[in-house]
Amino acid sequence: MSSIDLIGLGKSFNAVTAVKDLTLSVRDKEFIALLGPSGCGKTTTMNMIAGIETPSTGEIRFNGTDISRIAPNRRNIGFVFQNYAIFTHLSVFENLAFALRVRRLARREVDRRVGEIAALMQLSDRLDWPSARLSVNEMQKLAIGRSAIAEPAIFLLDEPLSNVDAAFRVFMRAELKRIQRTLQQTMVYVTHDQTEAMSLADRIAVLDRGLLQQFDTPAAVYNRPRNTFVARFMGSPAMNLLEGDLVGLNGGTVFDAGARGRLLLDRAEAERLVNGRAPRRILLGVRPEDIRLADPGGAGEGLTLPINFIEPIGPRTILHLGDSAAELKVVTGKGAPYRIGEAVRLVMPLERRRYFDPTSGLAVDTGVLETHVGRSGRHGQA
Amino acid sequence: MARLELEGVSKAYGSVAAVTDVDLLVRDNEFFCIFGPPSCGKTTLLKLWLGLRQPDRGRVLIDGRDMAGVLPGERDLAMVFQNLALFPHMSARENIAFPLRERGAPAAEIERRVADAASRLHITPLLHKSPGQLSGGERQRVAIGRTLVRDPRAFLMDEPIAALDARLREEMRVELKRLQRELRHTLVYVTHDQEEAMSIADRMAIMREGRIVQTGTPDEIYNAPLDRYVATLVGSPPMNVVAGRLSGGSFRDAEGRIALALGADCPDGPVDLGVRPEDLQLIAGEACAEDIHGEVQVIEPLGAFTIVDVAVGRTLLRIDAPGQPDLSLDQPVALRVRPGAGHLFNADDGRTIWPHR
Repeated sequence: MSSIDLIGLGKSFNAVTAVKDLTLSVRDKEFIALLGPSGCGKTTTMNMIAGIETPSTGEIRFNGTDISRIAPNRRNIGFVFQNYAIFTHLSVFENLAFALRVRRLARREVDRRVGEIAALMQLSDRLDWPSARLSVNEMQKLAIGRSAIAEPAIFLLDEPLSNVDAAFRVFMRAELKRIQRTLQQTMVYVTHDQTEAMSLADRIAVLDRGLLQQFDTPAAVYNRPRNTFVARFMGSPAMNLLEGDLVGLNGGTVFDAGARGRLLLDRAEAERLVNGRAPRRILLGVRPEDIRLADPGGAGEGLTLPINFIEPIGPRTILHLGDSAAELKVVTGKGAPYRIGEAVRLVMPLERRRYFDPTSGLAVDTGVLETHVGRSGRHGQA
Repeated sequence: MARLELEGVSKAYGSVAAVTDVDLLVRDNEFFCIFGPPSCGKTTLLKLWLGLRQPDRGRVLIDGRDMAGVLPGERDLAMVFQNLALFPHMSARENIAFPLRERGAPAAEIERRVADAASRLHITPLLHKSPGQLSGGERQRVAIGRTLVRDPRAFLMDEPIAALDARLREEMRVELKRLQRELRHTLVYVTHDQEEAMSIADRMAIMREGRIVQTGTPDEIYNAPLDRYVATLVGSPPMNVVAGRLSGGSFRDAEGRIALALGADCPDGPVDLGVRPEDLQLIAGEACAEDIHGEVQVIEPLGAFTIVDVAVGRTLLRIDAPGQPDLSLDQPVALRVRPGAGHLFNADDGRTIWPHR
């Protein structure tokens, strides 16, 4: 149990800056994800927390105490790597018992705690097995169990699910959540997979090229991305970003996307954009699942685009719209009755629209979503 | 432009059976996926067509012709590997031309074929670039271009995008499907990723321990699985399966917490009920007699949808709820099975007994 503070943390390898001026605080018992593409600095950050790398600048505090000069083995940290690091010549039991034996715990105590953790990891019927006989999936459970048994104050997990197969990953995500609920440890989880970060973390730190882009709850990062990098990185498929102009028309304001059509803005929305200093040229961001499809001939305005590709993925269908240069994606339910070539009209609910400055990439503050997210009870619709 | 067949094919490595009694027909111009868990025999099927392995029993046919005795190089099939295997020090043009140069083709023919392949793949402006300067999708096109110049009858691909990160995989699979449509070539694609198979296949085969258990369109496989194995292998999270009894067409689990009047015209007895996570709805308003009551155990918000684990007695039901429902741990919730959803499996062998096909 420990809080972590990273203060102005930086790391350079010769001329290359891996992490730059990173400041963030992890609360006691919090599960945070360091998320970003390869080369974003997430593993370097974790290595500095673990003490494997020494920061070039800044400070790391555990429970308010600077630990930058403390050796890795004295930091009370549990580490789970992508490649398990299991002693394959030992049994499952001995692997789990290892950290306890190092501490010379009494045999009864070792038996009791190994029994507990094995039950939690669903490895109770494997305790006598040589660990080399375990499946890849069981190995990963063992790796987590082996670190957890030492009851470290801080648990660091570096892409622990990237080597397991897709089905097991989905299963293990839920297991990890359950384990964290039981263990009540502070966890820092490094991943490039936004799905894992969304589903597991209390808060997500999104990193790109060594810089922190946003640090917030999964819902906030997803619903209110601070810039186009976060908007594109979160979600599957990513948020649609459509370029157009804000122009006055008959006393109102429209978003003009050229040949694709126009979208009349609500008066209050237009006002907020003006107050948020929106540029004339702007990116309209909308999530694929928030777009509703209407008959192109029907009443009301909207953008009309042809369907050029249909991807059924089981519970959902992804429709690809428009030409490939400015493709939009829409997620609908399974068995959607659409055909390639058919034109559809897009209806984008006001409260689900975001706007970005195409030059800086930053979100233009419209204040709409801040109020919407508080009452997110959307499960009635189906 | 080829029909690929296997007729009663079996192949063992030593005493280990890799594939057993496989009958399979891949039609002309079809995008065909072979899907199954690791080491179920998927790759062996490709090797049999390629001629890298000889069947112990049965026949391997390409366009109706028995391939026994035909060397791999004479089968006109193109194999694209997982790592694409491009030469990093050569330009895209040189990479594509490589197999023709190896064969000693005249310079004029090489130029013509490379230009033709590049224009079909829309990579003409990229020919001077090296693989390192290309995006993942472009590299894939170059790798395909290198096989296309040999004018193959069909493409075989073994997990060609499995090593890429999630976002790139999503883009590449669409790219690949588009490409196959444009080229109008038969393509056989091996994958262990069910979403990939579902999203790109015209038809697919599901394998289990060396046997093919079902062949059909992704829609047929997803909505009308032949057995519990197929039902739980496609779809993520997997279909919920609950053991219980059928009596007078109604299902009831052992604890009596899940009771559904399915109207299934099947004999009474032990059955497994299967319900897909997206066919379980969270009920906020008025209750109905068949609602299932449980407590929230795990919430996985994924933005567009949320996966919620609900404990119903000793049974765990996983649901896929749209959007971002406002839920908290241990909260009591009511669930309802969407009308028309639900499958029944024979409790012993797992065969689908209802709905009838």
